[in-house]
Amino acid sequence: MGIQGKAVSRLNLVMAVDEYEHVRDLACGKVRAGGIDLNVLEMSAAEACRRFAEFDVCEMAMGRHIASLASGEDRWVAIPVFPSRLFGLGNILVRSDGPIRKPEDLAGKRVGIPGWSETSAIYAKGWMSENLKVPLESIKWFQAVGKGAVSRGISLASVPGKPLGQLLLAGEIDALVGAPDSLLRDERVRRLIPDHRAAEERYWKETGIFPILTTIVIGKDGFDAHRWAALELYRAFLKAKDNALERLLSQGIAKFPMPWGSTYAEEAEQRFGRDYWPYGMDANRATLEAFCRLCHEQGVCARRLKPEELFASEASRG
Amino acid sequence: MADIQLSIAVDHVDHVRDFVDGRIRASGIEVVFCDVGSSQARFRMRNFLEFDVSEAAFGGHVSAVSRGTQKYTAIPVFPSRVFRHSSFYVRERGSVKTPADLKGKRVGLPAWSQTSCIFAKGLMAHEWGVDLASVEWLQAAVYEPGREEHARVDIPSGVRCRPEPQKSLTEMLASGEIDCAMTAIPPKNFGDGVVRLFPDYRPVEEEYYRKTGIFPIMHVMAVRNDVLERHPWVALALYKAFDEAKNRCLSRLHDPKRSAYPIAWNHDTVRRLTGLFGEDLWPYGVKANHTTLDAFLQYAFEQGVCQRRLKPEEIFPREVQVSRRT
Repeated sequence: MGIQGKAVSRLNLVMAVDEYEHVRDLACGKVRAGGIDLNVLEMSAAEACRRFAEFDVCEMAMGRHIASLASGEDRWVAIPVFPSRLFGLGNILVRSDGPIRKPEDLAGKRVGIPGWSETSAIYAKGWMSENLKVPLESIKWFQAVGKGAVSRGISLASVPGKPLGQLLLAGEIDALVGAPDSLLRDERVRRLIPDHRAAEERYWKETGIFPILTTIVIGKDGFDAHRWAALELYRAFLKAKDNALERLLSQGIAKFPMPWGSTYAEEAEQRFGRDYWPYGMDANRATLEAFCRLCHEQGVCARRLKPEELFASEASRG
Repeated sequence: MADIQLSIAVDHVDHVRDFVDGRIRASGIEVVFCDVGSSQARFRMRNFLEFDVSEAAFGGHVSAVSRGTQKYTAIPVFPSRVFRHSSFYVRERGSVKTPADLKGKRVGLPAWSQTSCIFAKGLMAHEWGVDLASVEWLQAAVYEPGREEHARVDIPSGVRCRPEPQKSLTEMLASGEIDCAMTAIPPKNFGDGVVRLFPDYRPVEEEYYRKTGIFPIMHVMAVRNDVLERHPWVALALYKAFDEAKNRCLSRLHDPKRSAYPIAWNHDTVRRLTGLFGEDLWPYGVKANHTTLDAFLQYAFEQGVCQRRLKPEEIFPREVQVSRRT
């Protein structure tokens, strides 16, 4: 018997994703995707999105993903893995001495957003139109960056090079969605909803929406050559996440540097169930349906997509 | 020049992972990470000194230090900290309704020297005015019979504590042989006729922290003495690397732009906790933990876990306590 070269090899994939407790078992190699060797580069989702063409697998903003799909582009496929989710109502800032006192005052005002098709802005606009009943057409919008489609009747100006925070302080806009860290402690501004946590819980109870900011995509070439990899990656992300959910709940030994950490995880479990950070399409249908609807209403997508269209069928029937 | 190689056993928690996974380097050290989990690390270090660097139980360690028998040296890096009001379990219809009711009762605990129990007994004696000598103590494991006390202790005279090798705390709590189980992990029958003495313990523990400044430390990182004798510089190198890994982890927790943890609204919770603990929710170092360390060493001495009253400064190497001033 002699060594006859490599009898078995694995697919090598480079993946860019931010650092998440629920992804790290995959990032450090404790959880492996079947048949795949992952080389994981940890970077912010924004950077990963920008550089997506350099990677085989990549974290991707949901807004960009759906806009790309709706415009008929075919650069990647997604798997229903959702690393980043935030409600975000706390990140809407107004000037302390400005004309907006309560959320309904947004009607008719000047509002800054990072970009019309930026994911958190899509949800915030949805909250304004559907929950506050403030027509988006009544608002004068200012976006930091952006190209892409906008629904009819919307007034939208691009102000590249002018930080929105400065525009807010200067009184050139009245509210800002997606507050920069530096502004959150500035006395000249305040949160539109001081008790945003309660407002977000109410929003979740009423709508079933827990905003999904990012997903995971596989470059089209790689996917076409190895379609099986979609389900193997999905399962590996799922396993890493399930490990994290169990770890965070464990009592007796602290698993993360937060006093009462496991108590907070328990509270999340009581509210959202055993799987308190669900992946997959079925468990997230309310959020995904709403997202597709909002993107269509806001003109981010020219047609209304179905949740099934967002993800590789190979990974969503698993 | 070649780095020295050190085996490190510690729970693979988020606040150490950037170091043991290699993102952060301790200068001069190549890490062989032994991912064996917290309890295996502590067990194997205590019994066999298998690792160069390991997580270790704080209680057993200070017992050895006070007796001059320690085989390893702690650095002020604390992988696990947990408040302990939550670790009193009683029968739902039993006779213990309030902390003061513990007076004169039978209380079970896994080990007299277990770190969590040292803090919990400290609560009884110092916060609730329950004389430890008024209690009848039974020592047994939570789930399985047959656990032994593994650290040297000299139970103070007048205190009655006997091992119960035939039974578990879970069984004895159910049968009424004990009125309370003092344990870091819930007994098997928790929720089934057994409740916490403080069902809503978090606000109580918050108030306790506000009042005392004590945030109980369970585990420390320890370096084998022979390693430190050969390479005294590793104490500070390790301390710095663990501290940096923890600070990176905290910055993830503080980041409002993404969900670094799979817990809804976690970032709001972190912000609220910052109001109570400051930006550094998980401080390392002797100075930042002096109140907690001093209380712990007082409890351990009073309870006979330590033979003499140690000072926080004595139990860590000077190299991690003194910095050069310019």
